[in-house]
This record gives sequence, structure tokens and C-alpha cells, in this order.
Amino acid sequence: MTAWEYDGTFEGLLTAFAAAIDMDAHPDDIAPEGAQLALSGAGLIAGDPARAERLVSLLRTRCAPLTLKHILYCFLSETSGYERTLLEYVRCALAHGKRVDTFHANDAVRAVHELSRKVSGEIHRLGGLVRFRELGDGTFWAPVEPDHNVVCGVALHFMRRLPNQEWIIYDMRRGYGVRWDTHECTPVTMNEELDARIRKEGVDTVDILSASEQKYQAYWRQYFEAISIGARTNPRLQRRNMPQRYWRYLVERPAGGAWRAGPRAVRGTHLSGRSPGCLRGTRERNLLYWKANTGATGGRE
Amino acid sequence: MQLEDKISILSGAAKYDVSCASSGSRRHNKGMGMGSASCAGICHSWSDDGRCISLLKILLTNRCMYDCAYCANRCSNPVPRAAFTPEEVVDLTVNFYKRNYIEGLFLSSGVERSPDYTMEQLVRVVRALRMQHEFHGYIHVKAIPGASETLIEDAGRYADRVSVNIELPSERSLNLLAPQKKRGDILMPMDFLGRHILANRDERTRSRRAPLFAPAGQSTQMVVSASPEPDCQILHLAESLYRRYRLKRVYYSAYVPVNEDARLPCVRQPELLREHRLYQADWLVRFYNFTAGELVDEAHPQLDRDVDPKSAWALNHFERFPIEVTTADYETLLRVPGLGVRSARRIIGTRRHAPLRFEDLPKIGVVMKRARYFLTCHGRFAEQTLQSPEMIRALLAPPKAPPDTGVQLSLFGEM
Ligand code: SF4
Repeated sequence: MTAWEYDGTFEGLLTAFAAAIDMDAHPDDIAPEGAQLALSGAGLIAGDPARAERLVSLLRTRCAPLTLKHILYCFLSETSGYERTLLEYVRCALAHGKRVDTFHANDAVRAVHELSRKVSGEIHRLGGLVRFRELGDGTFWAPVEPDHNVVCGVALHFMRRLPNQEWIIYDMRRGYGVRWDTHECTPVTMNEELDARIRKEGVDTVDILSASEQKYQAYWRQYFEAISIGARTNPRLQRRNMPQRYWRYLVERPAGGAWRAGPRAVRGTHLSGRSPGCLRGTRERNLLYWKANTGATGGRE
Repeated sequence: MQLEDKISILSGAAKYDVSCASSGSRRHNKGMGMGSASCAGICHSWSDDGRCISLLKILLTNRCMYDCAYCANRCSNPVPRAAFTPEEVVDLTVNFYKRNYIEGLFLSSGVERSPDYTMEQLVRVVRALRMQHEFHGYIHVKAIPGASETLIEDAGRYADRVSVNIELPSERSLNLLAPQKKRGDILMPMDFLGRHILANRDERTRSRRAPLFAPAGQSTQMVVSASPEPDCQILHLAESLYRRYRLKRVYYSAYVPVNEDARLPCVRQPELLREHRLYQADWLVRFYNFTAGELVDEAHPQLDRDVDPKSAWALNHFERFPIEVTTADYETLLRVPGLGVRSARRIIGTRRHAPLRFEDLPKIGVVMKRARYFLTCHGRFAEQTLQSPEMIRALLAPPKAPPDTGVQLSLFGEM
């Protein structure tokens, strides 16, 4: 029985994969450092950017770009225990090249596709559900609390959508965001004081909003109410399409289920229950990987 | 009047318009202005009735001089009236878009003063959005029947989609229920748009720099169940509209009883199930190579209400089944109830590199609920099968209770 640990970064994970492939090793578990391993005596694989990069370029020459995207998305899903399946998928991809993504009956391939679809689904969903608030300085600010670590992916969408607007998409749960200054994306962290105030007072009451922000929010709520056909009220369908966990930062107030703020996520925690340490230091690199692996330049296209 | 009140009145008046789709247009942002129209279409919210909100769907005014029997805004109804200025609509659209509330604008209007006057107001909005605000989001604008061709051409130049409502399935019903509208006034702009769009496609293949003209094409809408035409007539009309004017979509809208009128049928609930079946049949015509004549004919003028149109067709043509899943070609697979484009492709993809077994089908995402009655794998059925269409029909038909899902969702399900 063997268990491996990696440093929690994407590079670390790829390094572990490269090592496993080179040594033809089949560890029983691969997990980020700090996660509770079922098996003790885990060996730590130190992240090696050069080695990770070699694996990436090998995959790039052998497989379709989509395959790399699936790998990245699995990582960003932050689900616990996906690593071994992903390793199997990577092996399969190296062996079969472009055909791997047609192996729908293969368990590893199917699991990876499913996970990847969850992540891209959330990116797509947030593309619609993100709500920007105009701040006093003209920046548009959108808080989110996604299940998966997708702010960069969401930012990529808005780079195309709103290229001439300065905006920030901020992950309140993971405590970092992406800022677009009309030329490039940079990672940002909110100052602690503001963070605390927003958590206490709510997003739309803090005095950082622009003068006209409340007005347009009221217009939108008015519209939202008027557009529903009363005779067809269907809260179940509404909730199915738009799960309640995404409602907190909406501007409109859906009626399907009492609207309530619920407990706010604690900064630095995320669903997989890993220690926040895994994530620290990875965000700059995440952004780089987004740029490298999704073909975005990070600048004006 | 406060802007809030106008929003209430004029979106409330537009809400029965069914076309929410914002897809099918690709308007890239070349670094100037704001926005892009994405191909897949994005839902931004879901209203309390469960429908997707993607566009700011609004009337410029509900002051209408016409008196269409089925419409809440007809001039003989004592409803509150309001009108936006073009500037107000532009400002709302831009500010909603910047905050990511919407994907774009869906602008319609009652007919005020004259068709030309109304159309001109609509064009002012879309022109200002594109020219002054460099707005690249999605715009769908209605063409007012009877407006001059130059105005309709302007609308096409700035909007992604232009639509003229056909309103009712036959000229007779139109004369009866919407006496001020002439069939010719509706078909003419449709024909005009159809030719323009086609010419523009052509130009664009030769030069990418040619300006866009309604890149998301034209659509239309008709009210069903307000007049006596059967599904057969409706689907044949839709089919000919697709063919003649190259429409992208025909929307069906179950008549909502808003008025008391001797000319109208007495219904208490809109016929949502009928609307739903029409959409399913329409979908088969557009993407599954079915013809309207295969789904409905003189002998079966109405779509089956109990089972979806594809299952109904299969049960009526039971001699063509079962289909052998390991060898059937793509076209044949598409005709199997329960198999969609994606499942058919996956079946073909998977069996190319491995022998296909029944257990594999659910794994690759094929939903077997309906398909299992119509498929064999290596000559064998999934389970002991019922060999008569009547028994299968009984199993597929829902227990007698109306479905609670909205139409929109099921549209994209696999059929
Ligand atoms: S033209 Fe007819 S359908 Fe349109 S708003 Fe006026 S009355 Fe209603």
C-alpha cells in the first residue's frame, strides 16, 4: 500500500503524475499535503515545474487541447480523491492520444468527463449569474462563492464580454479574485477591513457603491418581478435551474423559497475540507495555467 | 410617470412573448465598446415561473391602436398605458448589461400612430445602442407589419435578430381575430428579410468585412389554441416558413385567456401541453430530418398528447423496429425514441473501437427509458420485451397528471 502527497498545486500534481508514469508506479492514493490521508506513511513529491511542463508538452503533442482542459478542470474541481482517477486518465491519454475522449465506456474517462463538466458547467452558469456592482471609483465588482475554484475561468469569459470596463470578480470563499484593468488580468486580495465589513453589512449596503448603483438595482428588481407570469409560478423549476446556493449575491430576489442570506462562507475554507494552506501561493500560478492552457493571452485579444 | 412604473407596465405587457433565445449570433468584440453575443446563449436568471431570463424583454410602448382579440394591450382594453423614450430603453439596456443582468435586449412595441412611426422609434433605440454606445450584446427587435422596407432594413443592420409575428395559423383566423393586420403585411417583410439575410450571408462568405445583417436570422411567433386550426395545419405552416423564408425559429405560444371575447374559445388554462408537443415536433423537423407530414396527416391531424411525437411516430411505424444498435447508421439511430444527436454520435464513436454491449449504453450517457423498447443489441432486447405497440404506449404515457416542467427545459432534452 502506497500513498503519495503533493504540494497542492497543479504543478505538484503533474509532477506526481510524471513520477508515477516514469516509474510505472501505481500509488493507492494521491492527495494534497495536509489532506487527511487514509494511509499513513505517505511520501511527499516535491513540485518540479520543469518536470510538470514536460508532461504538459507531451500531452499537448499527443492529445487534443480538450484533454488538457479536462485535466486542469479536474484539478480546479477541488473534489477530494479525484487524483488517482485522473492519473489513470492521463495514462490512457498518453497511450491513445486523440481518441481518449471518445472512450465513453471507460470508467476513468467517464469520471474525468463528469468532473470536468461540473467545472465547466459552473463557469457557464456563473457567466450568467455573476452580478457586478458599480463602485464609487467606477470599477465593477462581483462577489462569488463557487463550489469549484473557477474565478479565473469566469474572468476569462468576462475579458471577452466586458473588455472596456474595469472589473473584479472576487471569490469570497477562497479569498482571492481577478482584476481586469482593460488590458490584463491580475490576482487580487481584498483588504481585511473591507472584507470584514462586507461580511457584516452585506454587499449592497456598504458605502463603497457608486451613487447610481442602488437605482439600477431597484430597476432590475422591478423588472424581475414584472416579467414572471403569475399563473405559472413554479418555484421548483426555478430552484432546479438556479440552485439557492447561488442566490446570495444576486440582485433580484427570487420568490421560490424564502430568500435568506444563510451563513456566509468563512474565508479560506472550501468544500473539500482541505486546509487553506493547500491553496495559498497557488493563485498566481493558477492564473498562469489558465493563460497557458486555455489559449488566452491575458491581454487584449 | 416614474421609470419604475414604466418598467412594470411595459415588461409585464411583454412577458407573454415566448422567444427568450439569445443564441445563434456571434458578434465579436474587437476591443471597442462593450459586450459580445455568445453562441450558446446564456441564462442570467430564472423568474418565479421558472423561465429563463436572458434578455431585457420589453415593449417600447403599449399604446396600441389595433384591437387584436387575443392581446392584453388591444386598444379596447382599459389597461394602464405607458411609453419609454428611446433614450430610457438605451440607458437601461446599457446599465443592465454592464452589471451582467442580461445578455441583450428584446424590443417589441404596440403600434402607436402608424407602423412607420413605431418602427422608426424602435430603430432609434437599436441604432443608438450600436452606434453611440458600441453595444455588442444581443438585440432582437420586432418588425412592425406595414412598416416601410427602409426602416426594416435599418433594423436588420443593427439587430441580431428581426422577427415578424405571423400571429395566427391561417389567414381566416387573422382576419377574424386581428382584423387590422393583413397577411400580406406580415409575409412581405418576412420575405424581404429572408432575401436580405441570404444575400448578406453570401456577401460575408466573399468578404469578412461586409457589414452584418441580422446574423441570428429571423424568427416568428404564432398563437395557438386561440383559433381552431389543428396541429397538422400549424406544423405544415411552420415547415413551409422554414423553407420559404429560411426562418431560424417558429415560436408557438399557447393562448393565454386575457380577454373576454365572443370570437375566442373559452379556455381557462393555456394549453401548455399542446404548446410543448408542438415544440417537440418542430424540433424533430429542424434537427432530425422529419417532415411535418410524417408526424401529422389527415388521418392524425393532432399530435399525440400522451407520448412525445417521436415515440408516437415509432409506435405508428412499429414494423421498422427494433433497430440493431451495433450496426444501425446515424440517421436510423436518430429516429429511435429516446436517442438524441449526442447519444447517436456516442454510440457510433464507441462501437468503432469496442464491441458495444447493452450495459455500455447508460454509461455513455444514453437514456434507456424509451430507447430500450426499440433497440436490440446483438439481436437481443435489453430485457424481456413487450412486442406490441399498445403495451409500450401504455408504459410511455404518463400517469394522468400534467407535467410540471416548463417548456424551455424539455426543449433541449434528447428526444
Ligand atoms: S398590434 Fe395587436 S397584438 Fe400587437 S400590441 Fe397591438 S393589439 Fe396587441
